Amino acid sequence: MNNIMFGKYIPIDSFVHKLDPRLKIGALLILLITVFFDAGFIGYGIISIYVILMILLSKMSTKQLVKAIKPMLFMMIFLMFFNLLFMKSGKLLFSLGFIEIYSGALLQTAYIVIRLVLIIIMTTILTATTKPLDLTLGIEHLLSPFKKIGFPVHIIAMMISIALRFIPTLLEETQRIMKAQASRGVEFSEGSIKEKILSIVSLIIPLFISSFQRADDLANAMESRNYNPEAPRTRYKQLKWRIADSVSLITVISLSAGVIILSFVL
Amino acid sequence: MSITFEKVEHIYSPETPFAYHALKGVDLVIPKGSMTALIGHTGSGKSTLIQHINALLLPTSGSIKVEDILVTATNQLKTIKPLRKKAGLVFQFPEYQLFEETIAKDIMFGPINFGASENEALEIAKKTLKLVGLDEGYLEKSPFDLSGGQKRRVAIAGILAMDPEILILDEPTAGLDPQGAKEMLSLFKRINKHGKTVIIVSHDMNQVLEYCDDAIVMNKGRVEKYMKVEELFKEAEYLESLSIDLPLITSFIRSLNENGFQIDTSIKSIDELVDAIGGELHE
Repeated sequence: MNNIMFGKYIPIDSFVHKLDPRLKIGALLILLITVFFDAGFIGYGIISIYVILMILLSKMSTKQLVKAIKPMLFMMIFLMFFNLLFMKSGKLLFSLGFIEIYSGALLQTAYIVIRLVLIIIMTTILTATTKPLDLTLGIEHLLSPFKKIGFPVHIIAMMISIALRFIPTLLEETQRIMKAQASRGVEFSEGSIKEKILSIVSLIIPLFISSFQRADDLANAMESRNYNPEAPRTRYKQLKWRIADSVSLITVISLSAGVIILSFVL
Repeated sequence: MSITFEKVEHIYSPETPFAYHALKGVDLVIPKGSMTALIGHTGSGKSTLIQHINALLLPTSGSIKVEDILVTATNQLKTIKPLRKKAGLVFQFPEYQLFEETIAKDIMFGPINFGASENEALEIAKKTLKLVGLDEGYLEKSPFDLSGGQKRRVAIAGILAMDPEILILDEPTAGLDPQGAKEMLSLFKRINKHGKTVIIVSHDMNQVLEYCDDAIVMNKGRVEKYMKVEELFKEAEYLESLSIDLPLITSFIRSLNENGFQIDTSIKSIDELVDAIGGELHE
């Protein structure tokens, strides 16, 4: 369970770590949209080069990235499989009984895999280089224009930060309960389907109970400190926009614009 | 059933920025039938150490031998499962592991996992529930309707029901009232008298002195002392350096001795102490 790399902050010091969370979230959004424009292999080549640059600048190790992609491997293979079998465009390349593979399907499948890998890597870079609290702070800032139309920005941000805050706690709790049940002879990875269901039940029920308990405790702790989501508040941590942020923003925008234009030209 | 640790190292999340060296070259032989206290600060490696005994954690290097089962870095699940039955581990706040609809079913869970039939398991459940001081009326109740202390008893019964040869408890009395704590510890002592090996992680030195025979002191991932409890509490300066308090009786004897008494500091009970003081006063 400790091996879950996806969404884990890695406390090191790098160029990307120091960037403003607002920029990082904004840039991710722009890049995510760009990834879905079909600019052929040239477009994906450009984005990939940019992503590799980001990996280097954020000092992420390849091992960590592989760990992040691994859990999605099953989904990728699943998508690849169905795309290859059921898409029928372009030339027929290969056929064996009912299995027919077309050139268009091959191309589309390659695109889907490239997109997924890029998306996972980009999101991993964001979460690995930004503390969860900075992330919510950034989201809150980015959403603040919507306050004017009555959107409860602070409440949403608070909910996100509480959810993020409790992910490691819940993982720890899960691990603890798994160990406690393993001591009682449960094998989470082996056994018949009936045994597996029972072993999952023995994990989920205690997990739910302790989560409700925690939620209750947290609500009480917040209320006893007179928490009021509507109250005006100041912040201990201030976000500072630096020149590096502006430069990064311009780079991302021009890169995306380039790729999008390319997709219309091609 | 003796437990042998040989050059055991354990590193959490190795080769990441989170890597943590929790056990450093642990060599240890815990004899069969002993009642041993495991003492040390939070983060000294106690919990990591005990989780190696039933192979919930595998060592990064080195080996653990429990009777004929050898645990190394590359063990397969098949070789480990018999060990889980032999060494029952009760975690801190074990009440979090309860999940069944009735107490009977929850206690039966362990035995059934290790191959007991429903009927056998039910008999075991009845016996163990009595052992932890709850009557049969509780069998059909939901474990979630109980008080904290009762939940703890049921959870401990869940491990005892597996009839482990080695019983390992991580702070079993944390959060219990003094009376409940006393009953629990007496129970473990009784189990120990029946020839089982008992290992208790504890922060309460009074309990350690009263109920345990041997003590293991851990500090920063190493085993620093392993000796008889009475001997350990003679080393007041050492314990103080780890900010471990002396048991009340021992520190009382020390203050008496500083003021002219000559009482043996290895005295364990109040009755013996009263006799000793009386004896000195008569002279």
